[in-house]
Amino acid sequence: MDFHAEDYDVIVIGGGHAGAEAGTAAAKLGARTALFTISLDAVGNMACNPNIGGSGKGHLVREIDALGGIMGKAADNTFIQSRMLNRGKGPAVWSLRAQADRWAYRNEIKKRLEFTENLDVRQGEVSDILFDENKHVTGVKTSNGAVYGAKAVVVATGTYLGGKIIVGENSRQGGPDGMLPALPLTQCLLDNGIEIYRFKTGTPPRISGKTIDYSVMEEQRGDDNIVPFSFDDDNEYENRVSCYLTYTNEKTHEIIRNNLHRAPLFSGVIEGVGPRYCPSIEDKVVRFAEKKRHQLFIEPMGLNSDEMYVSGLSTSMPEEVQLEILHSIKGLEHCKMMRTGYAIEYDCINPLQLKASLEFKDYGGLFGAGQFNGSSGYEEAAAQGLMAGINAAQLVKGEEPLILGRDEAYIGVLIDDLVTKGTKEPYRMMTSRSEYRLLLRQDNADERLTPKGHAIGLIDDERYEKFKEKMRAVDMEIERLESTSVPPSEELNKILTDNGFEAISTGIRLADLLRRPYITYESLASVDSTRPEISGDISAQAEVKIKYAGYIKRQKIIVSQVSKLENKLIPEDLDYDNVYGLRIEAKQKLQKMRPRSIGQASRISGVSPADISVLIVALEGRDKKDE
Amino acid sequence: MNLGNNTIAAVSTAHGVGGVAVIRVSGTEAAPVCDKIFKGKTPVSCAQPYLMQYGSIKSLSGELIDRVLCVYMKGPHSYTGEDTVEIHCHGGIIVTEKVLGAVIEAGASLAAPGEFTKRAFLNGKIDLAEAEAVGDIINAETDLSLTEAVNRLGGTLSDEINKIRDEILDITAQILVTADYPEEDIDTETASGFAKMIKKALEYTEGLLETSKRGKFIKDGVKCALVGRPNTGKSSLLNALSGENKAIVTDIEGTTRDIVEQRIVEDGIVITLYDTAGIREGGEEIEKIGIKKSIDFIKEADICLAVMENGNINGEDMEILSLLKDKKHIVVLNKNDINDEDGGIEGETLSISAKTGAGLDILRKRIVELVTDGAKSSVERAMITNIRQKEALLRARENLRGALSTIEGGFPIDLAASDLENAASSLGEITGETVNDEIIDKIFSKFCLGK
Repeated sequence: MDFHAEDYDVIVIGGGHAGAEAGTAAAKLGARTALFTISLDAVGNMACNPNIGGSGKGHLVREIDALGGIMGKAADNTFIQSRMLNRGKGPAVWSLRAQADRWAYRNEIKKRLEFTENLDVRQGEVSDILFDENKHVTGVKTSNGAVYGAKAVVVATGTYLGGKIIVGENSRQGGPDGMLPALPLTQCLLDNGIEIYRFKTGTPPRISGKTIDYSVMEEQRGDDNIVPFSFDDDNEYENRVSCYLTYTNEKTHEIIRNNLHRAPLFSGVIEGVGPRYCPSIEDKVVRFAEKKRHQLFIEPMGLNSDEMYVSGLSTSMPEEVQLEILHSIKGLEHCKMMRTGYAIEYDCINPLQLKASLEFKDYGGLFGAGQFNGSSGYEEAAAQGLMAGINAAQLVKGEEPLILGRDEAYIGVLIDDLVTKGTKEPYRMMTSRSEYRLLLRQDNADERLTPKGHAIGLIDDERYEKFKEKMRAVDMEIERLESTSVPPSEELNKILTDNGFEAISTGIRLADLLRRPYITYESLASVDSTRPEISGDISAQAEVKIKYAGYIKRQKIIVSQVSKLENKLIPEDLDYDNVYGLRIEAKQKLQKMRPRSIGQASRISGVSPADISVLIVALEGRDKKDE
Repeated sequence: MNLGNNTIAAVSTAHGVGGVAVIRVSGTEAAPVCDKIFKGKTPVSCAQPYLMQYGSIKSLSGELIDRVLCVYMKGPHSYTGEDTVEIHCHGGIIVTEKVLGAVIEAGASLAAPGEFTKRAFLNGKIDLAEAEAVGDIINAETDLSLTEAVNRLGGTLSDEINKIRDEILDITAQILVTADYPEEDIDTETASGFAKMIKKALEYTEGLLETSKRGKFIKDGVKCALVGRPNTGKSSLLNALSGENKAIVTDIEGTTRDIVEQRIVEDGIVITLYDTAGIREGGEEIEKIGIKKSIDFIKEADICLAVMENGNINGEDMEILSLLKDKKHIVVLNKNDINDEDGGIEGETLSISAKTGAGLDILRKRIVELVTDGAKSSVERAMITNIRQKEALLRARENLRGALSTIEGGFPIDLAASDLENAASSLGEITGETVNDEIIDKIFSKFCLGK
């Protein structure tokens, strides 16, 4: 028996990394919000790897923080080891990654949800989304028959939706980490005409730490100087654990090859499309047969646990084969398995059905976020959750959505890729996906996004003032470095010759020294007598901005050329059939996709530069007629 | 003086071995041009418009190329609004190309991309006020049939571009994979290895740019002026090279008083020969005007043939030669049937006989070699034929140089990736491809990654 329970502005379905951001963001923006989760013990659960960040993903976390999201702060409060990856490379690809205590992280997220004003957290399975006759959402219904009214609904079902767990020949309906799956909701979406994909992902076995011989493995320690994810954080941190590196070997590969007929991936049991960047070990052994070994990282799952995650060994082989594989590996010969590795298949949508705001084009007030949109990874999920939450609240308030450009944020790249190009596999963020890497650095995420976060209402005045203070300090330091000359000295010439440069006999500006390769801010300390006492993040930004000024400028020029197209918006009601001169393929694609701007239209596959020119002309003609 | 009278031609069907290909000729001379090569019951210009006529296409030298159907559409009732002839020939690539070649030899010029549509617009067949028509023009620019026509004469440009582009994407993927997967044990090149690979791509790009010289002449043709003092046999040479008796030849000095032109095709390049009045002191009024024209014309020509009489070279010849000192030129020693002793001219000379035809083949080849700076023939190399392609290549070269200087300057190699991506996307503009996804595909197909 259905009953009317309560009315909200925004309802979020799912309490994972996407749902948590969506719920907190919408509530903070003043929307009366409810978050539904199948299990209150699984909010913010890290169902796979126990780490946050990494290449490209670390950028996302810093951007989430800069906009006022929660993932960065939650990770800072619960990490047990932190590293800045790619330090030896250019500043564009430096990426933070932290091992998090997964139980502490989960509790941290749960606490943040529970103590957010305007946000109700509710355990319950949403079985239906309700629409009015105009296909606008009106609310949701739970499996107990409770009907909740809502002006906007964010779907963030992760791998729960239609979840199926596969281990060897055994498979059953199920969500991640032993949770229940969300089953009826898929049918509701299908009944409403939403296009559904089936994707697959997998996770490695977890083993008992006390049964591992670390002495034969390579230890991997955290950084000495830890950079937190959050820009709003002056705390001192230290590493609590190490990770360990070991390798598979010929014997491991032979075990896998001998059991391929039992591997669901190859026997046809798995139908979903898996990600190329996160292949299972059986996939790696088959596809890269010439590789003699694959590396494995043994990562602690938390401080108060003996469970260790075997990164690199994702598999859905039968359990006894998994054990055999583990025991063939150096240092794991006598290990005991605590959780079996598995593959999980789940339902998600074709993200081409979404606008850049993450609202469905055809279903007013319905938003999607996270794995439901075809992505993969906690950070990708959180980034979309944040944007969906913001835009759901904006919709309720009758305000314009917040849409980030490809030149503004990795979040912009992520969403634009999903909604413009679509995806045929779970989508993972990588630095190579961004064409403006030099502009979208992890060190300047606050500069790029905090003003937007403040304008929309997620960043409070106090933090914003602090941010502006920092930017002033960066500018002042740049100014000082540009205008300060240092005289030639033995000290300076030693620095120069040590780095392969010729000694100098006249004075030189500090900025000019910094522009040389190999010369760092740090290395000039001894010759820089007027150096002020400033924090590391300020000097680091000043250094990058000076050192790579030429590269940054070149990318900015390209952005300004492209932005003309990005800023040229296409009316939502444009009838492409009546645009004279468009090729039929382009007409069909554009009619279906209804891109937001000329820029977005130009990235749709099958739309040629000639079609874009035609479109520009057509829009200009339309503007003239309107005048 | 423009090579193109305003009659243009192009293959207007898609490239490939279809059953039938259509060569479209448009312009005031469309019918007369086709009359020269189409042999049917009625000449095209007298045929009933809009009625297909069976006949054959013969080259100017009389070679039978194909049996075809031909239709004449009288302006303004045609697509372009101009007199238009369509030749429907058999669809093989070689046949189509030969028919197009014959049309060009007969006096049409190769259409630029979008030119048919542009003419339709200029002739009021398409209404620009409605703005949409512009789309057609732009569309036509990437229209397969038109660009293909250019490409076919120029060789398979896309293949060559794709080779470089692929190489660049490969380098980019190798650079970026280590940034995206910092902890994987991946074997990639060292910085100096990358520099070497980029240099190779750069050289190749420069090689293609080099061909743009030849490409320009394929598209625009070559102006070749025959200059010399009177009665050295310039007119005879023009007639001999073209196989037609267009220029009047007499023993009387100063017979040629105005410039006579004649086209020939050599190695896919249209060469227009301009027979100029003999240059000498004195002469009567009209001849003087002719001589002045000759001297002025030297400036306009892409190349000059200094025609001299073998064994009879005097100070006047040397003066004419000094007019050519900043110009590409060939000293042609004519009449070697009468006298074949060396004329004592410094530098490159070519001994020929307009009368017997001796040395003419070498002369034709040498003209092409010299104007194109020896850029290789289309058979061996793809050809850059238009400004758009050239600009894209220039940008790619700039980006590659940037990437190289980043790496050689000791900066982190991932900084070079942006320049490489831009280079690949510039090249992609020529072939119509996008970059980003391909790099990612390459990353995943080449390297074993993932947790």
